[in-house]
Amino acid sequence: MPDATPETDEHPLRSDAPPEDAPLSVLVDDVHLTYEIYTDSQKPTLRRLVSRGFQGRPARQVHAVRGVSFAAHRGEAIGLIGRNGSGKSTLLRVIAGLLPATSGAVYATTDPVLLGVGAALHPELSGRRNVFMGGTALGIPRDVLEERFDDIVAFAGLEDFIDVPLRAYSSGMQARLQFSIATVVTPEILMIDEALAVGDQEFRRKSESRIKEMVGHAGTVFLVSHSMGSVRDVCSRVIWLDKGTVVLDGPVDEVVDRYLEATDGAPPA
Amino acid sequence: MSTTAPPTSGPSAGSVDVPPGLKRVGVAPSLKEYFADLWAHRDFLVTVPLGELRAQNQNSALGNLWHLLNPLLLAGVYYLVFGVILDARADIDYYAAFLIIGIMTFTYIGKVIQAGARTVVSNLKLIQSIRFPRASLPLAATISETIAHGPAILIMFVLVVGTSQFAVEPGTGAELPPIWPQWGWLLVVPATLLMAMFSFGLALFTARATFHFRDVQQVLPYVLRIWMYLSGLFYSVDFVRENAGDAEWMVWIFQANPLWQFFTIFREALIDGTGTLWVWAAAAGWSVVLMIAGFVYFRANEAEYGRA
Repeated sequence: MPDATPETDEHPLRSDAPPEDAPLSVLVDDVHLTYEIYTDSQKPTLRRLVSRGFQGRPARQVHAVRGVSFAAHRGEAIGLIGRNGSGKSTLLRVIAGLLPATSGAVYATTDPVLLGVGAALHPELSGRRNVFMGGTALGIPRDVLEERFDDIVAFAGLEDFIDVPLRAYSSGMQARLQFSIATVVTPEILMIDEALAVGDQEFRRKSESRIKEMVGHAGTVFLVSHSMGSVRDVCSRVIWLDKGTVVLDGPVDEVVDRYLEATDGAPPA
Repeated sequence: MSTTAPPTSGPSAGSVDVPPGLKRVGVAPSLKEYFADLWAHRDFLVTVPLGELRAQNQNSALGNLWHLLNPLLLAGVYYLVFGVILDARADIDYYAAFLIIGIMTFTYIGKVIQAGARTVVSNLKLIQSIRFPRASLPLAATISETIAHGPAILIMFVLVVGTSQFAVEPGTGAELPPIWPQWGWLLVVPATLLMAMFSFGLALFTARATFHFRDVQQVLPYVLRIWMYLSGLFYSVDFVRENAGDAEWMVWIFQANPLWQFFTIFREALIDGTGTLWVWAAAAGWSVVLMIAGFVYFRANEAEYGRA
């Protein structure tokens, strides 16, 4: 159980801003990302290449990230907020090394881990087998997973369902299992894309406290979320993106308040 | 948005001085790092194929038995068509065994190549979510098909022994000596290893090619089929030699075909318990060259697979 926190504390889980001289963990240097969309959302086929020639593909260029720079420190939890299509998730994928930046660069102390293990899971297989599918995909050795298996299942609260095929899980149950697998070996840099939104209240509290724990151990966490509640609870700093550029980067309350004002969301009472 | 703000905070904005302790993310790792990363994912390489095999036939009544039934039924069909109706067995001893070994071998190679072709395009979501060496996808597919091929090899032994009991010499109708287990059968182990390397090399090619052109997946079955017909699945090299006449080079080209070489290696090992050195050397050469070339081709696009 976590230490008793004073009831007056509005955000008991929020990590404190690290000291100014905390060591850097991630450096994002003028990152741009442009990708091409094919008008009928397909890769070029031989037929199209033959009929149209190799030039003048019917592509539309989307400039999703336009010159983002910032530095993240150890012990920092950073929220990324912005409207749909503002480039948050794309930026996260660039930082995680999953999408090559069109220009600019990302530097980090270790490979950042995106909480995206869901894609490695197989709906036909039991939760138990999926712990190994997802865990080994993240590069966690099998014996470590065997050793920590009970912890993973207990944290996800899935003791009664672990031998049931994944397709029978609710989306919240799947999200719990994913979070539990991805954080069993604490990554130094973790990036979470809306993964907490589907869990129930209790799991949200548990996962938020695990994030807090990571940050406390000099980890760095990036959280993309539309839930300002989650962002205020977890993050000390927030970067607000719009149309692929940074609008505002600063302490959580200040940025979230200005964001809510600008988007006509009601500021918190 | 009317809100404007200082562009960024922190000491980094716009600078390109990389502080000590940080390394660039998302650049192609060196060959050594790449292999180290593959090794770090070794459990993934085994877990995924086992899981997929389990899931694959879970919903069919006969389940994994289909891995055996498919080539068996195919062998039956071919025996009927080429052995009985067209009577192509004219000049080949142990024709049933000859056919079964060829089909099992071709089935395996074809399955690896076709499964390999699907690996990148059907795992795009995984590629966009988790960073891992992408070559592990075709590699896992190769491992998966190789595991599934295990029982097929056993069936092959059984059928070779079984059909040889009734084998007669073509033409004379005299009984042929039955085939029993022999030491030469152990050649199947290195032969399977070579064949897996060879197929993996081709799977690396088709995996990337399919990423660029989805059409490859549609064309592949036909290419494989033509290749099979050209490789002597139901006729022997003697048949080619007779028809080539003076054109000895045709025989050479026929024998340079790696698929024919693998058919021959398995046929000699199982039926005669022997092997021909030059055929083995040629097959090994193909395997090594294709694996290296396939790996180079696949890895050159490593960072781009997420951009789809």
